[in-house]
Amino acid sequence: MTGPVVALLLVVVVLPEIAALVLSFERYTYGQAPTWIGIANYVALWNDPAFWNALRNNVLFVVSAVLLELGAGLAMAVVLAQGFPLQRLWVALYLAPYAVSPVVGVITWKYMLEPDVGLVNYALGRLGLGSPGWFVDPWLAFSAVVVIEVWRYAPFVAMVCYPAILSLPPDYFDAARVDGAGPWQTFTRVTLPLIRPALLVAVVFRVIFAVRTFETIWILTKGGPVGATEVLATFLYQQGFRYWELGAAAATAWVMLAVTTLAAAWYLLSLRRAAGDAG
Amino acid sequence: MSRRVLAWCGLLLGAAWSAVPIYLIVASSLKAPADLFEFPPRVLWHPVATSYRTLWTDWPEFFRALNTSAIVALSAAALTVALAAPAGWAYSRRRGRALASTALLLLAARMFPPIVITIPLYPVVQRLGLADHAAVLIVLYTAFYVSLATWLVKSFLDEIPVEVEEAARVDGCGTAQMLARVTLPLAAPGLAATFILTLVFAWNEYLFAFLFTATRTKTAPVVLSEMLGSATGVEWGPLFAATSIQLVPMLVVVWLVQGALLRGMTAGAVKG
Repeated sequence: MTGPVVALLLVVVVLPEIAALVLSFERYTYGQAPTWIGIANYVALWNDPAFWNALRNNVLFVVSAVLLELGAGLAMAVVLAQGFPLQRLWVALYLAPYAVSPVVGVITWKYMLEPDVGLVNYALGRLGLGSPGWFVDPWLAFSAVVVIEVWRYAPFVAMVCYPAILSLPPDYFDAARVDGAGPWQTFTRVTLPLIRPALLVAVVFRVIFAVRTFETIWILTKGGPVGATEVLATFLYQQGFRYWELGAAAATAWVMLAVTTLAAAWYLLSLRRAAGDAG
Repeated sequence: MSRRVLAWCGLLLGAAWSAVPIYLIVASSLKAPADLFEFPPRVLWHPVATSYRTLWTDWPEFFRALNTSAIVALSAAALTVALAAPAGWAYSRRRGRALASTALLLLAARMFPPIVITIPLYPVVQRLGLADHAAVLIVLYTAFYVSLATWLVKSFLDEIPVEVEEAARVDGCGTAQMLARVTLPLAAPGLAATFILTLVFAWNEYLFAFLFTATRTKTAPVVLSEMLGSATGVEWGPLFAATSIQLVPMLVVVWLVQGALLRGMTAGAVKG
């Protein structure tokens, strides 16, 4: 019964992964015959400052985006869990950014951040903060990319944590109230420790997906200005589909896969440890 | 009392952060192009369809892409559910070492970054003459969403008591007949939710669509990104109209399958 699914995954996902590994040891310019060159592609990456720039940006991006998503997503989940009239509507509004295409996210924010006419700069101008060029300044461009990512994925964190909070026994909150705990204390001493498993899942999923980030950055900045938003995926894309060096791109791809695997392994280990704690 | 007020403030703040950017797109699509960058933006205005008319006359490409998107997303979702239903049933009802190892494969497949496989796949797709064919996208989407779908189906089937199936067996049903007559009809709402969730992902996908389509089978997100990246300056009016057409159905969907969204995203990630 699982045969077709397994076959499809083996042919379309696993086999190409292995093919990519083989490719990463070859010089393969698209259209020419590949030749075996050992670890030369990886050595070239090691000596390429552009690769290190992409890797550093990628790490910075993962850390900043995931931390902000975690904060914003948790806040959303806690608020939603209070329960309101028309709950279905509020949940839908909160989750909306997750249901739109990454392209739509970029269009929305590019419109709001337009230097001369965008809503955000208008507001900043009114506050006497000038009109920053979001896509010209390296740090601002990086921040813009992070903001869009947080906007898109904080709802994901909320989506994982909200049901977890709802499933907590009300007795715990009653007990906290009887003991005179305020909302903040209740959150840090009761809610947070109890939803740790859900939180862990959210973080790991987000880390794994943030490592591969491509769409938002590619559509918004193409990795610019001057490499400020270059990450592994955009670097890989340029190697592979602009310079047509598929072998070199495959090496970057495997670095990406290694980073992802480390994150996943960490996740499985913590899951096991959590299970050990529970039983 | 003050706590309730605080909760409402938080609620409205969060809703504004998530929804206002999307609202602005849809609202702007109904404004006259001259009013698009008016400050402060008008809250009440007489809606006009100018931008939609411009889109219709100047961007026939977008409507072709919309059509492609619909075909690709519907096919991928149908294929995904067709594969995920029996697999989900097996994971829900059966145990065994072989099954456990394939479960690991399903989990691992979701962890692989899709961009990795584009490198070896690109030359193959070109050589097979499949570049710019919708079939490539349908297969890729199915492969990348089927493991989540399988787990979602499993979680729905877990809620259907085994006794129902045992009764069907006592009445002389074989496995296929039992699935078709008893289990799957009972699981229909769950299967529908899985279908719709896959539909959303496939409808919105950008990376594969961007890499594996050239002219004939561009999907709507690809055309949207081209409209945004237009060298002659962005025509915001038609872009807002096109974006609204692409995104509004998805908002309706979030409304419809909230429950599946809330359970689905991490299905299979926590031992249940």
